[in-house]
This record gives sequence, structure tokens and C-alpha cells, in this order.
Amino acid sequence: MSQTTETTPAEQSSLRDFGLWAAVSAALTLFYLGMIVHPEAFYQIVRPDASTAYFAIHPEQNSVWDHIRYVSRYVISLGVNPFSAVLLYGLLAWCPFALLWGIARPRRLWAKVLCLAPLCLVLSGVQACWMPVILWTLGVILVLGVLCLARMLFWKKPSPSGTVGEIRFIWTVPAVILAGVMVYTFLAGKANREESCILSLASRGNYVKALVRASSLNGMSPTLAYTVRYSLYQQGQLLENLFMFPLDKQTAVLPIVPFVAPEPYYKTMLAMGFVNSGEHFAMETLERVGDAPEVYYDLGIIYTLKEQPEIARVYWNYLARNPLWKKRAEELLAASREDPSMKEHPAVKPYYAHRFTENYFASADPAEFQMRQSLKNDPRHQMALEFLAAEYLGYKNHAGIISLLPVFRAQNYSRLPRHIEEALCSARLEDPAFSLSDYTISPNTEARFQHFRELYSRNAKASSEKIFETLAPVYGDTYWFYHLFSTTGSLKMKQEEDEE
Amino acid sequence: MRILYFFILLSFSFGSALTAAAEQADIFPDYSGVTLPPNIAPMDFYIRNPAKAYQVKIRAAQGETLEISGSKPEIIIPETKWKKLLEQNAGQELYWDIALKDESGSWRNCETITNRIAKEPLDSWLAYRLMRSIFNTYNDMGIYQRNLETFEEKEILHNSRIEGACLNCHQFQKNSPEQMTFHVRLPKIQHPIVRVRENAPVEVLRKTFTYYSWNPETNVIAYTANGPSIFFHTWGEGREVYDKAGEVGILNLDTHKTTSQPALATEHYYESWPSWDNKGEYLYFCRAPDLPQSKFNDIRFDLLRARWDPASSHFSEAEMLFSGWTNRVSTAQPRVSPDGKFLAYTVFERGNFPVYQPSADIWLMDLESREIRSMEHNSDKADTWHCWSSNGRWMVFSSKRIDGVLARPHFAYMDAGGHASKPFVLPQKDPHFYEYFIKTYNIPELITGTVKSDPKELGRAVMSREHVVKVGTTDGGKNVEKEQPPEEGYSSFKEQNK
Repeated sequence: MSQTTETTPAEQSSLRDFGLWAAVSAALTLFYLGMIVHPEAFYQIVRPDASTAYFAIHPEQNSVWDHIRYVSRYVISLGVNPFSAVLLYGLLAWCPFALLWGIARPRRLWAKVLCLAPLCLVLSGVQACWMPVILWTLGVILVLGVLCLARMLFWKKPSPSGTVGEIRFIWTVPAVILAGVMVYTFLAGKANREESCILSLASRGNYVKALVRASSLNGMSPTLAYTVRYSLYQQGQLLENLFMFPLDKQTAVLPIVPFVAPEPYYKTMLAMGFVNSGEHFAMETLERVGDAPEVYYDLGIIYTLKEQPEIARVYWNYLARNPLWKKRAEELLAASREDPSMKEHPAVKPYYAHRFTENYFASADPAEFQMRQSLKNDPRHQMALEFLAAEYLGYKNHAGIISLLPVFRAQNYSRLPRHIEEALCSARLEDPAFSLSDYTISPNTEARFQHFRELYSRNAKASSEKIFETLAPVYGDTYWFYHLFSTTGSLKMKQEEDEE
Repeated sequence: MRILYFFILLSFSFGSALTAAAEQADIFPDYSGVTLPPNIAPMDFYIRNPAKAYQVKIRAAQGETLEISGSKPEIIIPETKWKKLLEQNAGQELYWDIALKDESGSWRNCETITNRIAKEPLDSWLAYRLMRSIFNTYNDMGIYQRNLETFEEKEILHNSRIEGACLNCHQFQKNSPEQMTFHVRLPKIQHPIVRVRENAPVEVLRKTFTYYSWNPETNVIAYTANGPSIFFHTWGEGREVYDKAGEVGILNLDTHKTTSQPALATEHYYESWPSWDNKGEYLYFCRAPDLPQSKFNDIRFDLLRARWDPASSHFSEAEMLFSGWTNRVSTAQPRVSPDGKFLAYTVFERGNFPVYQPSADIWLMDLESREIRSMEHNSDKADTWHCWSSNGRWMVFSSKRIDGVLARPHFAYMDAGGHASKPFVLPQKDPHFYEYFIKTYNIPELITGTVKSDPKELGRAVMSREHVVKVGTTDGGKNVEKEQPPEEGYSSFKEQNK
């Protein structure tokens, strides 16, 4: 009887291998679980350099679990853009899969299926980051489909040597899964992905690329719309190409509900001189996206401007724990210790000129009021002028635009921006007598306006759709078109700008 | 002989010159001149004075001197030896001798730091809420507990377990961890109050308050439902909270019934910050005229108290203790000491919410003589959310004194006359902790042991229908307090995404 219960050496070896495989499998599963279903995961993909800022401070973060997460975040942060970050993420999953397969014995069906766990998790993680939530079910179906395919491949009869089936399994299944992920993300998450890419580009200062990509969209979320306007301003294009992008009254130049785009909003408020609003929406950004190194960087600046250098240093100290930001943070810390006001430091100095230090109760101030305040505070504030002018354009406020002409003159604009000229052409139809503050409208704009009117008059009896179709390809990016239809025509930004 | 005399004189004058010039050690956190509990975790610190090497000797009348030296300024005190030294010397002085080695290799002594070890221990655990410095949106917040004798920190409940809801106002009955309550702000489950007990099922009570207090002797909670809303300023502290109308109500946790309190419901006024005294005989609370938000600058809360009649479950008429209006300050957060002698409360410029006001200080009223004074441990930053230890000898409070924005728990020894020692910040294993930790400690509450509930199970229970308890009224709903106005301005990240 005892002989029948004894295990053979081969079986013992198999069990040992199996135990080892199960342990590694469990560890790696934990390794990937941390990547899923958290706002930070999304942020991490959009902004890989943010991923290392998540530090072990609290019990739930201070666990072995989080150190493992930290390693994966660090590896992913090496990706120079979201695409390479995702590829690294995929690679991280494939390696353990191969490792698991190598050590898994006996290779029973369920054991082999378990080998796929890291890949399933990476698929799930990519899905969570790149797909809208409503497509989750489809994602699950896809995973199941891929698993069925894997199962079919599994049962392929191995060659007598027993190796062909294994090799086929190792190389084919991941390839099929990754191909599935690519196809699925391409088809199902295109809009989401496009928006992520544009936000990512803009947040890293690649404004031209962001704008080129955004100009090909037919519609924009409020978050994206505001990011585009911020990018336009950064490129000196706000009053030149504002109407190249989708715009309607609901998405006026500054977001009516800043929570839709807290990050560019806080940057705008900070640049406008409203340090408290900058602080407010920088904090909102942190709550929405998790750890964001550039927000910590800016919070330090904000608190320095608020004359609270101690807390500024807390944020920079935290930032210094991120290896990718350490050098910059330490430089700021040293400067802050030397001169807490940092009035001469290049990162802080520009904001002092516009800093708004008057205290009033500001819960429901419209953006226009804030911009007017900012311009009143510093009449040479270019950003306040351009955003206010853009706001007036968005609301078709001709009187407002005319009132700003002396400010353009005071700020030494050699000529009026294109959209301002266009708006003045329209305004002249209502009141030909207003002063241009020594500016002239360029002959080109005058000629185009005449042509626009002629084209419109020629089609006056046609249906509104027909007029729209006629005018959009030529004048879709003008104020006149927006004034007429309260929307913009879709004109693409020139690709060559991408190369600049 | 003359030469000998000269050398003696010289050595005396040199010695006294040395004494006069002794360098002050600049340590962070500032643990100099403080009174410490005999059961506190090692008070690790770092020395800011520049030096090539550092040596610290921690000594007292009894026991082994602890010596820590090295080239790094961080002084990490061995836990076991520290504990033993403190135990052996309770009630005596504790000396920290700090020496610095300069570039030339010679050592110089800093002035000895003298601390005192109190005889009375501190409650061994501290419960608090941790979150970033939030404005409108919250995403990552949790209630935690920390063992004050070690560095162990445990989660009680993180809001990721309850769909990102807001967690606030955790409270315990008489510093006991056996029963606790906290709020959950989540529309899906109707903003309940959650009651957690040892060896009993969790209760999710369908009742929303803003501020509340446990009666120390019975399972009765006094509450006000105010509907706070946040608003902003363009310069200085950006946040301020405005509370709408609120009235005192009573919730009996055994019968799950509420009782309105007409004696305290004064027309054109609203009440806030209810707090029972040590015996559950009086309820202390704050009251202000019901002014609109636009008059936020004129809102001043008075401090009052009313006697409780347990038989009828009603209060008598309130008596005024401190007039905020007369003194041109506002009051909040009254808390009576466990011996019933003192009332500590927060005094600040205006409104109902002291946390965002740098002027906020803790004041003390001698309940016998009615004398009042600002406490010794206040700073020029907000000092709020104070809590007495169960033995009445310690006070913990949230102070923003380190950086002006993030609140950190500070502890002060309270002598029999109600005088506070210089406070010290909660010790951390890493002495640099408060220089990079970007979360704020909110509502520190001292408890005598650990809350034993499992965070996962607690999260599940909060979200589960099985634990829901409906709350009724004693008068069939005829005489209930006004409906609580909704909380405005705050929302969770998940709610916003919806």
C-alpha cells in the first residue's frame, strides 16, 4: 500500500517546479495589479515622468506592494512618450509570461492558463487607461476571445519531442494578445487616445504638435478646448488662429466651469497674477490626476508668491524625491533658502510683475472680470489682454474689443492680430465711426472681408447648410464665420507647422 | 604663586567665556524645552548646525545614557533603549548633550537641551484624517490611527474603499477605541453616520449631521446640521467656510430616534459645534445670528451651554459663557477637560470654521472662576482641533505652525492649573518627514487603544445595505429640526467625473 502513495522523483521535481512557478506567478500578478484602475494609471500613461513621484509615506503606500509598484512605475517612466510607455508596460508583462512558462511544470491546462495572467492584466491595465469605461464590457469579451484562441493553440498536438507546441504557445499567444490590444485600442479608443495624446503633448510644452493634432478633430471636450486655447496663447496664436478650432459659447475662452480643465486653468490664473486661484486649481489638479511633478513645482512658486516660503519648500522637498525632478527641485530649494522671496529667480520673477495682492471675496467671479482685474493691475500684461480679447471674440462683444484697442497700442503691438481685425470689420458695419487707435486694418483682411460678404450675398437665398458648406472651406477659421454660425468651420492647421 | 593665581583666574574666565559662547543646537523638529510623556515613541530629529560629525548623548538621573553619533545630522534613537530610559525617569528631567565636530576635527559642545518627562502617560493611540490640502475636490483621504509609543500607523478606513466618498468627523466616546462614529458623504448611501463597535455589527445610520458630540455616559449624540459651503478669497488664505442654519438635535444610538430641542432653537440664530462636558450634564455649543454669506465678515459665534435632562431628553435654556460679538472674535470647538475644571475652545477672527484662519488660537476657561486666557502653546498660525487625553494631562491639537498650510498634530502637557507646556510635534521615524509630507492631519483624537475593525470589512459594511439603520423621530416627525441644507462646494473626484 505504501508503495502506491510514494511519489516518483520526476513527480517530486514537477511539484517543486510547480510550487516555484505558482510563487513567481503570484508575485508577478501583484506586480501588475497595482497598475490598474486608478486615476494615477491614466496620468502615468499620459505623463510618464509623473509616475515616479508616488512615494512611500503611508501604511498603504509603504507596503512591499507599493515598492513593487514603484519599480514598474519607474520602468514605465523611461518611456519618452505615452506610446513607448505603453510598449514598456507590455514588455514588462511579456517577460514574466515567458519566465513563468519556462519554469511551469507540469504544464497542465489550468497551469498554462495561469501563465497568461500577466498578459491579461496588462491588457486590462491598458484598457483601463485608454478605453472609455463603457467599453469595459467589450474589453472583457475580447479578453475571453483571446483566451479561447489561446486554448485552441494550446491543444495543438505537440511534436514527439514535445517542444513545438510549447514554442508555438510562447510566441503565438502573446503576439495574438498584443495584436488584439493594438486593434482594439485603435478602433475603440481612438478619440480618447487622441485627446490623451494632445493633453500629453500640451502638458509637456509641445504646443505646436498638440495644436496640429487638435485641428484635425471635429469636436473637443471642454478640457481639450481650453488646453488648445492655452497652447495657442503659448504659441502667440490665440488671436490669430482661435477659430481654427471648434468653439461655441459653451466653451468660451476661459472655461465657465474651471474644473473641466484645472491644470491649464491654474497656470493661466497664476500667469494672470491670481495666485490664490492658481493655488486652488493646482490643488484641484492634484486631486484629479494624482501626483503631478509640474504641479508640485508650480505650487512651490505659488506659495513663494504668497509669501509662504516654508510650505513652498515642503512641496519642492517632495518633488526632490522624484529622481527625474530632483535636480530642478534642489536648485529651487537652495534659492529659496538663500532668498525666501526669490524675487530675482528666473522661475518666480516673471510672476511678481502681475501678482494680485488685493483681497476680495471671489467665489463667483466671471472669468472676464478676473481678466479685467488683471489688466487693470498691470496694463502691460499681455496674457490678460489676449485672453480678454479672445473672451470678447467668443462672446461677439464688439464694444469690448474696441475698448481694448488702446491697450494693444500701449503694449506696442505693431499690428492688430488677425481675428481682432476681422472683428473690427464686422463692428464697422454696426458703427463706422469708432477709433482704431492709430491702427489700420490690413488690405488683405479688408479684401477677404469683401469677398466673404460677396460670397455670402451670392448664396443668400440658398439653404443655411449650403451657405455653411460654401463658406466653411474658405472662411471656416475666421471670426466672420463664427459670428454668422456661432461655430467654426473645420480647417486643418498646416502640417508644416509640425516641423517647426 | 602669582603665576598659579594667574592661571586659575585665566581658566575661570576662559571657562565662563566658553559657557557664554556655547552654541545653541538648532534641531528639527523642535524638541527642546518640552515635557514629554513617559510612553512616547523615540523623538528622532536632525541637527541643522553644519558640522563634519555629530554626537548626541541622551541622559537622565537613572539608567543607561543613549549615545548616537555619526557623520549624518539625523539622530535616530534606538526604540527599546529610549522606552526604558523614559520609563525609569518618569517625572524627572531628560538631558540631550549635543556635540559637533568641525572641519579641523575638534569637537564643540552645544548648550544642553533639557526636557522633562511627565509622570502621566499619554493615551497610546491617535486617530486622525489625512488628506491633501483640499479645496473643492477630494479624491484621496482616509482616517488613520497611529501608535504613539511606536511608529506604527494603521488605516481605519480609506475612501478608496467607499467609492471615493468624503470621510469626516470621527469621534470616540471618552477616548475609548471600542466605539467610534464617522461621517460618510456619499449621495448614493444618503450621507450616513457610521457607528463602529467592537464585537458588534457596524451600523450605517441614515442621518446626516455636520458637527456632533458623544455624551460620555450614554449612547446619546448631540448634533447640529449646518450645511457648510466653501468660498474663496483672492489674497492671503484662499479658503473660508460659511455654515448655513443649524439647530441642535439629539440622536439616541440605542433607539435610533432623534429629538429636536426647541429650548435651544432660537429664531434668527443658528447653532454649531455641540460638545458634552465630562459628565454628560451640560452641552456646550456656539451660536451666531443667522446672517447671509455676503455678511461673512460680521459673523461672530458666542459660546453657550445648556443643562441636559436625561429623563425628558431635553435641554434647559442656554446660558452665555463668552460673547464673541462683544469681544469681536468668533468661537468654535469647545471641549471640557476630563476633570470638568476647564473648557478649551478655539477663538478666531470670524465665522464658524477656524481651520482656515491663521488667527485661530486655543483659549481656556476655568469653569469655576470663569476666567479666560489664551493658552501658552498657541502660535501665529492656526491652532485648532484640540482634544484632551483621557487623564486630562495632555492635549493634542492641529497646528499649522511649521509651514502655515499643513496641519500637524502637536502635544502639550497640561498641569493641574491648566497651564500648557511648550508643545512638540508627533514624532516620526524620519526626522525630515514634516519637510516633505504634503498631507494635512485633520481632527487628531486621542484614544486609549487601537480601533480593531478591519478596513476592508468596514468599507464593505459601509456600502452594504445589510448594515443600514433607519433613523426615526421621537415625535413622529412633527417636531423635527429643519432639513439639513446640502453641503456645497465639495465633491469627490468620482462624482465630478459622473
